Amino acid sequence: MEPSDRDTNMRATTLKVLAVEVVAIAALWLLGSYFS
Amino acid sequence: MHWLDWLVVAGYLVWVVHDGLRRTVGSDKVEGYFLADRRLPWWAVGLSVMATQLSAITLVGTTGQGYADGLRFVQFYFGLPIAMLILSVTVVPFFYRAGVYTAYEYLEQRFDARTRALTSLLFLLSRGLSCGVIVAAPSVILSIVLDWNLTLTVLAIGLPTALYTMFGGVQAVTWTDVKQMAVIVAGVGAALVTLIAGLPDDVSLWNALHLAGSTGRLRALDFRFDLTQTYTFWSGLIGGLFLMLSYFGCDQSQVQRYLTARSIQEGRNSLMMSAYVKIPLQAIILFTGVLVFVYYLFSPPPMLFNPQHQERLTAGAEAPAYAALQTKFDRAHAERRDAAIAAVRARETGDPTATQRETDAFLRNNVELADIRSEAAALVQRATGDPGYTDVNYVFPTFVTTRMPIGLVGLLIAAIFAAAMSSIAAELNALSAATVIDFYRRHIRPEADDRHYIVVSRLATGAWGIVACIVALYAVALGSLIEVVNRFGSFFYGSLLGVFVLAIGTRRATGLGAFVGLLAGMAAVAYVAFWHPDISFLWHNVVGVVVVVAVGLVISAARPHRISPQPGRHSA
Repeated sequence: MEPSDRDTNMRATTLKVLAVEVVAIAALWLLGSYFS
Repeated sequence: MHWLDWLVVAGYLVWVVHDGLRRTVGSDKVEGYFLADRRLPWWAVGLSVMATQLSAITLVGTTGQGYADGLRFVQFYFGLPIAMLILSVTVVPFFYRAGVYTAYEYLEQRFDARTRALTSLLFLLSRGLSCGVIVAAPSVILSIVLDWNLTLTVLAIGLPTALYTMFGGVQAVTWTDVKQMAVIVAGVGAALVTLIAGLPDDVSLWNALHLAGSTGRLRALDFRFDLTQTYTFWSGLIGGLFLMLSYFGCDQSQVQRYLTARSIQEGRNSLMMSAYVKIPLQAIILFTGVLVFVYYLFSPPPMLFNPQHQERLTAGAEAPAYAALQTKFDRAHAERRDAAIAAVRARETGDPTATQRETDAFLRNNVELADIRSEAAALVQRATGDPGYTDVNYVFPTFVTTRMPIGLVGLLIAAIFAAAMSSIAAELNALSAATVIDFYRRHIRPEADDRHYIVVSRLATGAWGIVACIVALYAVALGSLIEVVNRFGSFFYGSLLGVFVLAIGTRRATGLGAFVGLLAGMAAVAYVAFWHPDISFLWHNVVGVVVVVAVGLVISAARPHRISPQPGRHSA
């Protein structure tokens, strides 16, 4: 795998991880807001 | 405990020990014993990373936190996914390319033997003691809840783990971790099903969650920036980030996990598993605790969840006061139950005014019940002389042993065993690796063959297992020792991360700078911990890193004896 492929992979992984975290935090916020 | 539950626990122990001992094949070389010849698949390593982090006290403590405080504790893990991303592009390729067995070995390549020896020694002291605490904490709880002999419980957890880790090495640790994670997830799933099925027929889960939500237990996020609050969004995101960077990047018990992966990419993937799964998993475990709270709204809970204290109060001088409180508690629980049902009925009518009125009445009853429990806790504090008394860690085990069906009790006890054993096994293997690779092979016998090192490694694993059991027996006798051990670990964690930041992040840092910086960082954390005890421990790691890097860079600039090469960056 070329270095540029690795960089692209890591960028994609970073975006996915951050997206999952944001969704998880948003879900927790919604849970707390809805059931309050 | 029913004989069927005993059978499940015994079956689990036999299964895990047998599976661990099977891994002796292929563990006759040092690289096989400590790193599985770097041939493990990412998913097994990823599960092992998670199993190592999830100790028994995490399982029972987190559910207890969910019961008492709701989902707030999940914020502690908000820094973890970002930490995993940073580690994936920094330490994973550096350690992997440097071909090291231990994280501290890398520090000798980068700095000098002195820095390696000090960091490895700190790891051995801190983890050697904390391994004992990891054995002690579930042993105390299980022995009290199930009325087992404490010494035998310590040995039942510690010895089988030491046995399969001793002979099977890291292969045994990893493959038993995979099975232990399955047992833990099955156990938590079984508890969730039991809790939902245990709700009254005329109360839906949805309405029950509205009750839990009205007490604030489903409000996970706290955006206040307050250094004295332990769990806030910011302490979890920033303080938690530094803690997770330290734990996963500098603690040999975790570093050794991903060094066993087949490649750098697979090592990264194993960490990514935690990045994706850890927050939802912890939220589910906390949610289980919230459901225990909901369950006890409709079914009478014990006033005190620690049965030993309950017995002590009913038999001692406090017995009349305790009996009076118990009567008040029973009445208050019946009133809270009725109020909870009234709130559910009001919500079903769809009338917001009636719902608000009944919910307010329920909340008043809930506060009254909590106050009575506080009075009971004050009685325990008077009787035991322990001002920090809390029974949070007994909530989930008490629910399991008194309310779960036969067979599932055994599964949950096996899950608590699994959580403890998976963490202990990884730590014993890492302690052995640091002892043999960083000290024995480095300073005592540098030129022996693999057979010799394997014998020494197995003996070191067994010896650390015995140390863990002895520390555990002392820790249970001297309760405060647990706090001392945890505090000692927190002095060292952030500072160690600072040394690795100097090693990987800058070419200018010297061995002297790293060494003096490490000592200064630990002193700074000790100062903050003792002189500003109100500052949450999650910020200690930030202090440690900042001081080590700052002092390290100043010393390195003042005495720049050489620009050190960076192993790993240029090698294949």
